Amino acid sequence: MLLIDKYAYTNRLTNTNPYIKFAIVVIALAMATITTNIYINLSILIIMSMLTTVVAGIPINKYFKLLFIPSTFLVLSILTILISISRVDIYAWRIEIFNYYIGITESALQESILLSTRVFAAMASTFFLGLTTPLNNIIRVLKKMYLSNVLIELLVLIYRFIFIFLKEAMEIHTGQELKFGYSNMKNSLRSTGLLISSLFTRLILRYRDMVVILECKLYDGEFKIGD
Amino acid sequence: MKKKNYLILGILFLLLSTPSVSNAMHIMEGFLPAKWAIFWAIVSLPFLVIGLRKIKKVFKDDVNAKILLGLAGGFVFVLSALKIPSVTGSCSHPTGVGLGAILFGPTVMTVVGTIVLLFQAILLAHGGLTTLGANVFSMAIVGPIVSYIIYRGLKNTRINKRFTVFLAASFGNLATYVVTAIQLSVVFQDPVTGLMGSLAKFLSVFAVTQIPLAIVEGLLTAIIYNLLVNYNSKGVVNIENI
Repeated sequence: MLLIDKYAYTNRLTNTNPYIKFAIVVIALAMATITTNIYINLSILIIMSMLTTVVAGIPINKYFKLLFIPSTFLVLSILTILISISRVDIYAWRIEIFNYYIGITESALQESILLSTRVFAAMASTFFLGLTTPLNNIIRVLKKMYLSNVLIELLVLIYRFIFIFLKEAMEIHTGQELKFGYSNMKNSLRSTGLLISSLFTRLILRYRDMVVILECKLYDGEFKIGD
Repeated sequence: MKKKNYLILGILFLLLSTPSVSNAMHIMEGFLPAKWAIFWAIVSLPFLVIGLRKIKKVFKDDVNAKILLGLAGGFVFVLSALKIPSVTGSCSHPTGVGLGAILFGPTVMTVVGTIVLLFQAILLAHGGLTTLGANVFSMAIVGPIVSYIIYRGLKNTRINKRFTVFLAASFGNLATYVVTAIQLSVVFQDPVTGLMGSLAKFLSVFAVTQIPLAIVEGLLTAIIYNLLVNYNSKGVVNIENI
């Protein structure tokens, strides 16, 4: 249902040792954020994409689509960092409007290039973890890190409910679409509003059912989490 | 009923007219250098620990609170994953933590918000693992605290309850955006004008998307709050804070 989650369970590295994968990702992330070298970042990007596409077998076109999801944020922020306005002219490239200079400085340009390579290196590392490791394996790693049991319970519960809600949202959406609910702007506005409010009503229903079900199973406030 | 439909329409109109940047709320993966990533993680940690303590206490009193919190987390996540039809093609989403802060208290929301942010990073590529600390601080610590203070402050005055909720949620959202802008501008100072210059730049760039989004969040939260009050009076859910 979620593309990343689907691949996490179906790629060639699903069952390899999660500790090793986790360690690789931590080292890669640390290297990308600590060093300020474009070439190190680029090599992390290449190695991580190779690991995900060639070794784990994630389709390349899907992989690049995912990699460019946050591109709007990246472009906006990079532009914000690049362009500055002032009265003094210290820019490598600038335009002049009413005694003010709007332009790009040498240092800002270098910083932006470094930043973009770092972002892509770090994203490739996180995607490697997200795309090749299913949640049950991530939980195993987290348990080894002596995370509080309450936190892990909540993690698993939220993960479970995410998919229940997503499924319901999609079913409602399909139903609405079949009834031409998204045929024009006005309809799609209304449909989305109805979708959100009925999703919330279902949340309450789920809660009620779940309380009854758990009571039948002699729930005493603790979920058992394996190993 | 008719009135409510108009309200929903109004919200969605705002959502659509927003030139949305879905990730503006979250600092993306790898954006912060290690020094700052670690700094924000350390700042956020005590809040998380306090939240966990609080949650343990809540769970002891009411075993079903665990399920309700899980559901709330799932709902927040799905709201953020919903592709709301939008002009620019990307999706915009409210944070949803304002409501949680009103219902469960700000520290509890820190824990739920952290988990939701983690899932957003792994499953949706929103935010990131290295920037988790910074995002937790803006979205799951400052936002809920601001919402909670506003709600608490106005709760017993004569101001309409729904309006109070609206104010709490939208100002919580705004606080998140301001903190994010500060976090970014501290790291990426403008070479010419320094800290204040870059802060002004980041604030103005994100204001375009975030201010309408804050209003949407407020309206949406008020509607859901209404639904909750109805259910509460019917005895389906038991939440004392309402």
